[in-house]
Amino acid sequence: MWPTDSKNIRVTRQRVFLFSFLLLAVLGFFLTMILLRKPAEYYELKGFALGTYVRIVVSSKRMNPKIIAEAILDDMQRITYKFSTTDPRSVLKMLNERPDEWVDVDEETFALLKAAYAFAELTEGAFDPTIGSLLELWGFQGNYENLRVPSKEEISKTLERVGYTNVHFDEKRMRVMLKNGVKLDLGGIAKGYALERAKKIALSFDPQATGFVEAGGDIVVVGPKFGKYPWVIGVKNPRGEGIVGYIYLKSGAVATSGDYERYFEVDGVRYHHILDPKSGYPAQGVWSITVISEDAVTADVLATAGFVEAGRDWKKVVLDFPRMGGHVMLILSSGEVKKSDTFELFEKQ
Amino acid sequence: MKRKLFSRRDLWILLAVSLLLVGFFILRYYEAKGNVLIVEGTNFKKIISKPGVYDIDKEGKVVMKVEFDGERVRVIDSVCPLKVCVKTGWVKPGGTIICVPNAIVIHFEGKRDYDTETW
Repeated sequence: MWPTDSKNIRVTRQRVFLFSFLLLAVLGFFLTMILLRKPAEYYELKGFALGTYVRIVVSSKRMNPKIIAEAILDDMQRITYKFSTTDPRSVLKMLNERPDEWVDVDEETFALLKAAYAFAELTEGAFDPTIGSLLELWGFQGNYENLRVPSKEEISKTLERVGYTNVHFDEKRMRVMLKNGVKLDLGGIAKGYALERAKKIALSFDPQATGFVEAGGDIVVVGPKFGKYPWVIGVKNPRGEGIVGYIYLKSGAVATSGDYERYFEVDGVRYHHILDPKSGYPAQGVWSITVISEDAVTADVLATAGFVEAGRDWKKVVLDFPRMGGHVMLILSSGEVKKSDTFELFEKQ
Repeated sequence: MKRKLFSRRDLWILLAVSLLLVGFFILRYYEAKGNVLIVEGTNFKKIISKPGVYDIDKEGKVVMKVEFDGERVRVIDSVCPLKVCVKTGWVKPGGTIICVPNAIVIHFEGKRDYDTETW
């Protein structure tokens, strides 16, 4: 029983003050805890797929985000082997091993190859999905253990087996034929495709899902941060520590291509993995290109094509790419930064 | 008799509560500053908090050497062919070094002023 007789409790000014102070301190403590706590709303899953590091950050009010993230990673791993150039389960490997022959493919492969062909036409061959033999010659395939600088003769001979117009499609029977010994490599589009699928998977589980998915520095936004804020994305400095700028995305995707990671050096010369399908050598004149687009496939392809094209004519990239749906920031090998006017729209919060 | 607003005991309580709050904020500050590395592989997870040079083993074989100076971390050697992890250079709190062939991720715990990075 609670004491009803209050005579035993002396209410002094001192006690009132002490009680109020302690009450405020406790309230203040809990308020601080609430304000400083990390939003636990986002589930994060990390892993390896598509020959790179993958990070999935997703939130859903409808279901456990762990299920969404795991479904996305599973799909990315499926795409990895399906469009690999070396995996025995790969459709691409099978196509490359059966030249001059109509090969039946599934709907997904047919659609992706058609998209790759369309982008090759759009970029006038700066992006070319038939660059497989050239990448193989330089050693930029598989586990990168056979890297070397080929001779001019080897390069010119291999260039005869590069050219997207050698990919033929049989629309009625969903078949593909590779002519003149070309070999497919979807390195410049598969990551974007996997990211676009990741977004669709998340939204198919929950149309209100938010978050982003990242694969080797290419990012697709599933939905705005906490449903209303943009995701803040740093753009890596291609020649040094840290970042060179920020972009703010509530939707869409961003991709960056650079010469600073996948490269090797011989006699002080850097040879990187973004090869110019016309010259057969690593594209020159650019350190990095960042492309923002409505979808991850466009961003991925235009980042590769833009890197190649900007070495020849950077103005064309800055002026023409926005019409193709890509908003561009270039860092030229002089250190100069060039941007499409439209890119600057994403630099404001 | 006129009473004092603060007695000696009140001041002690005030001091104790203030110290607790200050301690809490200091703890939060150092947590945010980040001086812990998490090295994660397919089947292992290693936490490093003291500066030094560390060998990272995978299936009994040293695959990578990591240097941590307390404020930054870098990979100084790796058995992978392209050595992307080595080329990444020094990384500050909030940053990550990735080695795809070895399937190893080195994450430097700490806050950064952006959510992710395009590279």
